[in-house]
Amino acid sequence: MTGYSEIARIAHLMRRAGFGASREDLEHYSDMGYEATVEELLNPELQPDYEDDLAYRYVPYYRMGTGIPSYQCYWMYRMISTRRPLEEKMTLFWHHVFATSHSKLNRNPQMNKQLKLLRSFAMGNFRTILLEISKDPAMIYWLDNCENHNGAPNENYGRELLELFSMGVGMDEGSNYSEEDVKECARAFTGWTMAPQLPRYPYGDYCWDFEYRTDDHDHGEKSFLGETGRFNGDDIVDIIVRQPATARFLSRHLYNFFVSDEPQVPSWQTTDPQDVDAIKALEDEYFRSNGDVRSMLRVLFNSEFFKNASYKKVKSPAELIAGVMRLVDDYTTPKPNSHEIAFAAAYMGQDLLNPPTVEGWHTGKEWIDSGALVERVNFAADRVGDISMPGVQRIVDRLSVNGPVIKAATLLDHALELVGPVEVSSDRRSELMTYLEKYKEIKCGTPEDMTNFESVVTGLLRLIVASREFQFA
Amino acid sequence: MTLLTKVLPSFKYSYTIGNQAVPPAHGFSGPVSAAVGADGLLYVLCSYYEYVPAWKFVVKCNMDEDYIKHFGSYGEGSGQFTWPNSIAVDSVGNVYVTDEWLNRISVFDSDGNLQQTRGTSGSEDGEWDRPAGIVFDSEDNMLVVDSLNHRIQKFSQNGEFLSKFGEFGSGQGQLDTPWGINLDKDGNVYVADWRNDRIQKFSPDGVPILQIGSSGSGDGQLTRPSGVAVDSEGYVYVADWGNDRVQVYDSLGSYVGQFNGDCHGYSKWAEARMASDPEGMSAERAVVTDFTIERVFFQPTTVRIDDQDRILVVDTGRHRIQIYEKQYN
Repeated sequence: MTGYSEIARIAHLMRRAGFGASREDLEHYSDMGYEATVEELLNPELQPDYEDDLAYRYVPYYRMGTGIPSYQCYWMYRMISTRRPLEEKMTLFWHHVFATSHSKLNRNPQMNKQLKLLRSFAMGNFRTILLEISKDPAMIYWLDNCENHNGAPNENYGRELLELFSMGVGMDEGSNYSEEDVKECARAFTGWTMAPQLPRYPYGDYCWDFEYRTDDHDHGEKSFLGETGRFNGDDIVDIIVRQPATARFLSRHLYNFFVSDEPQVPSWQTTDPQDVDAIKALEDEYFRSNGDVRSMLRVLFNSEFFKNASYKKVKSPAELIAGVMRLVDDYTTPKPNSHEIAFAAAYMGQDLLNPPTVEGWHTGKEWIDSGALVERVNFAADRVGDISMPGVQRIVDRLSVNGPVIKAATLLDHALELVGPVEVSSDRRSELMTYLEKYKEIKCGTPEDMTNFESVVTGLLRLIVASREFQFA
Repeated sequence: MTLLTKVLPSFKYSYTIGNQAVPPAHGFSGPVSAAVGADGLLYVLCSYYEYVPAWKFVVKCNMDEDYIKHFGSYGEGSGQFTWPNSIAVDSVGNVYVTDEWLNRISVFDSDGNLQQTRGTSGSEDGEWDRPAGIVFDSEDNMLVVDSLNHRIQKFSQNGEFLSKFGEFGSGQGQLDTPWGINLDKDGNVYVADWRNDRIQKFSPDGVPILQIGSSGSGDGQLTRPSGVAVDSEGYVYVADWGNDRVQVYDSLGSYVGQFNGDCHGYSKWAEARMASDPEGMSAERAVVTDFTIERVFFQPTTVRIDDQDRILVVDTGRHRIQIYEKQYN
């Protein structure tokens, strides 16, 4: 990639496959090289696990809270502090796909248990993923499979499994399955439910466990996607993962989440992928690897279509917040008031663990409206404008190395480099230069100069993160 | 010749105090520590949500589960708590609460009126970096676990620095992010050496005497022990925080037994709670066949011994205190 520095390539990778990285981490990864960094991301078990003991000691409700903010805070804290960024990013990916909301469950630790499940199979085999999510009590309750009985089927889970979790309604302007397939799918999942559980009071919340009730399962013959047999739920999953539509659906989801904003899922039946070759490459890897998500991600991150997609995606609120916090190096260890960070995502339109519908959040430009944009800009500007943040102090220190007197253009170039690198338009650059040029001299040679310099730099950082470009990953 | 065999005690569940509630309702929310006062008084330190300020507080009650009052809230102001860790009572009934975030100890009278705050952040003598466990010796000297300085500091009753022991490490006498602290009847000091997965016993002067436990989940092993207490016979009770259990050792550190929580029936406050919604909660309970999950500990943090040698287990995740009695069959 001519003119594109290794640091910039790594920064792009870390924004997409993680939640951004500090300049120091980028330099570390740059020394490792791009492909080696991809492998490290794909193998999170090689990195130290998250230090739950410290978090649970200082913030006990991260483990045993009964209110949903407990787990929103805990998850946001993990996104910021994790040393396994792709594992956490894939957890967010699956939360987008298997969108489940606490609002119906009202059994909040169950949502944390689902997150643990998503994290555990984050880069696993897609068959296993579909099977496990079908047994997840949060999903079972969310989509009424506990009401799916032998002789009285409830089609909700069966329908969404096909429509939103695996195949999609259609592709290439055709249908992927029929209404009869939905009914037969639902019959196959009868008896997949959860065991009764104690109420929240008097001693706190408890999680459900999956329970298969053979006496409530429809053991009769079923016809599904052209195959016939006495299918149970796992047989249905086996058939689903063999479908070309499934490879297409998963590939488009991965492309949309990691590469470039696609149209929303409901329109995929009639809207072709924007990069047909890219989707084809991912589909091929799906079948070659027997549905191994890690293999698909390896193809994706090492592809030219990914490397050339820098700043083509609007950051989700979770990505924006976690990225800013990692940049300023705040909440990388336990600290009070993490709810202020978690709640900020909701104000920006992404109430984690509470997606608006089973379809999940609409992404891309739909993240941005006037209210959300103000929240995004204010959140980022407040953080990078705070000189007490360790990451901001490090940026100031690095910029001051060019002193004792620094030209405005030099300062701007280096600041853009350290914040991203962020690529800005010529108009934006002119605006930022206008801010800097009001200072006749930018000096940092004496303690008094440094005080002024900190003010100049934090002002510049606030303007950079307020830019249109910073809204993109 | 007659061989004498030591008769080991067993531990029987007695009753429970508490249920999940926030003042003015009677109960606890995320209790992390408790202090036994005179005449059966009990002070329970609750550290729950930060996003609802009323959910960090101290409940004053008694061992008969009579609710007396509550005080404190989340925040950084006088008398508030941010990361409250432990609570203790001195000989005249004043109540001390350590706060790991604010690096201070708040001192209240027995009615919860703030008397003073103590503490300065740092690593010099008399300074703290995340004060955790706290206990008073027979002379009313205050011993404080200075957790991120990995040491124990001793202060006189009026707050004057007296001595210190411990340093960071995993060797004998060294500590890693310690948490709870307690004394035996001879004034020996027991420290929950949290990140070293062990209990260390020191002489009253801070000389290391004994190490109890090792990392793991087997009998006698520990995962992040947070609290420790010693009864009148020298049995050592450890809140095995990461393994959701309490383990018992003899005075030489040999494993004696464990208990995992046995709460059955309801506390008085829980009974009242159930009575307020007999149809809803009873209907949900009626279809449940296995009540094990309700009975067992969930992140037990602190163990205390009262003047009757009863064992109080602060069962943080279940918002209650389970009380056990030692018996010899």
